[in-house]
Amino acid sequence: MHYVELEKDLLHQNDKLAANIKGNMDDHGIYVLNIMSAPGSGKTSILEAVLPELTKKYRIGVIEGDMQGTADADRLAKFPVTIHQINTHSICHLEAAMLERALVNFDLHKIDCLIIENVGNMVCPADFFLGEDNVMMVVSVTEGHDKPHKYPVMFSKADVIVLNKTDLMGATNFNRDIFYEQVRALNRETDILEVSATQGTNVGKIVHFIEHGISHKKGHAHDHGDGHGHNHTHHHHDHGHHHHD
Amino acid sequence: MMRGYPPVRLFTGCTMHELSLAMSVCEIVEEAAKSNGSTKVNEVNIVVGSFSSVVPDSLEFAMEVAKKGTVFENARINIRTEKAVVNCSECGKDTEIEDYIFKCGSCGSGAVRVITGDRMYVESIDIES
Repeated sequence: MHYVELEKDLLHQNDKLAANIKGNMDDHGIYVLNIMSAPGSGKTSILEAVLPELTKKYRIGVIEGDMQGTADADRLAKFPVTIHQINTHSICHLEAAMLERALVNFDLHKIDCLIIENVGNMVCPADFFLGEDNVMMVVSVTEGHDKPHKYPVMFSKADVIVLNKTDLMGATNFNRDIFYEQVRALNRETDILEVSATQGTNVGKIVHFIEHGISHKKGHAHDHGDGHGHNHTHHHHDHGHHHHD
Repeated sequence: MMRGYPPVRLFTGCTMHELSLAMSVCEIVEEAAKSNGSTKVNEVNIVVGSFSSVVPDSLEFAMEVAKKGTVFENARINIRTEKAVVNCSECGKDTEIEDYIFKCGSCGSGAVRVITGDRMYVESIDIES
C-alpha cells in the first residue's frame, strides 16, 4: 500500500486545450463570446436580433451547440456569417475538444468575432472553459427571478447577463429587485441588460457590448496597446477574469 | 433510499456531465498508477467543491461505470465535498460561504474572491506497489 498525493484537476485536460484555443484566437485578434442559458431563454433569437447590425461592420463566425439537429443553424443561415453546427448527442455542454475540432471549418484570418451558442443548460456548460474572452448569460423573465440563487455557478461567471423577454414581464410574477439582488450577491461586476430580442427592445446594448469586445481585442492584437476603441468611460469591462487557470 | 436515483438522471442528459468528469478521473488515475509502477489502485480520493456544478451522487454513479476495466476497477471511490471559502480584498479575512451570498463575514464587503470550493480534483490515490 502506497499513498500518492495528486491534486490533479478533473478539468485539467479541458482547460489546457481551451488555453491553446485562447492563444490561437488572441494571435488572430478574434473576439470569442460564449453564450450560455437554459433551453428556450432566447439565445438564438438574440443572435437573430444582433447579427443584422454586427454583420454590417464585422466578419462573424457562429458555432451552434445542440444535442441534436440543425434547427438553430438553419435559423441563422439567412445571415452573412460562417456557421458550424456541433451536435453533442447525449452530452449536455460543449467542451474545448469539440470546439477545437469545429474550428477547422473556419478561416481564422477571415473572422473578427466568434460567437459560440452553447447547449441550452444552466448547469454543466459553466464548468467548461472554451477559451472565450467573455461569457454572456441569457435568462428570461419567464424563468423566474430566483434563478441566480438556484444556479449560482453560471451567474457568477457571466461577464454580462441579458435579461430577455422583458415585454412579457407583466404576464409573470418576475420581481426585478429580487433578481438584481441575487445577481449582485454572486457577481458584483457583471452588466445586466434588459432586452426583448423579439421586439427589438434594447438590442443595441448587446450589439454595443459585442462591438466593444471586438474593438478591444483588435486593439490588443494589432497595436499591442491602447490603440483604439476602448475608452473605459462606462463601468467595469474588465475582460477575461476566468477562474479556470 | 438513493438507489434508484442516478439511473433516472441518466435520461436527463445531465449525468453525462459527470461521466465526462469521471473519464477524466480515469485518465488521471491510470497515468498516476503507471508512472508509479503500479497496476492496482485500492482507493481514489476525489474532492468536489460545493461551488462547482457537480453532484457528488452522480459522480459516484458515473465512476462505477467509468472504472470498469481500469487499474482501479475494484478501488474504493471516496468523494469529499469542499466548502466554498471567499477572501475579502478589503479586510483580508476569509469567510465560509453557506448560502451563495458572496459577502465578507467580517466587514460585509462584497469585494470577495472564491479561494476554495470551486475546483474538482483527484486529491490522492492509494496504490499497490
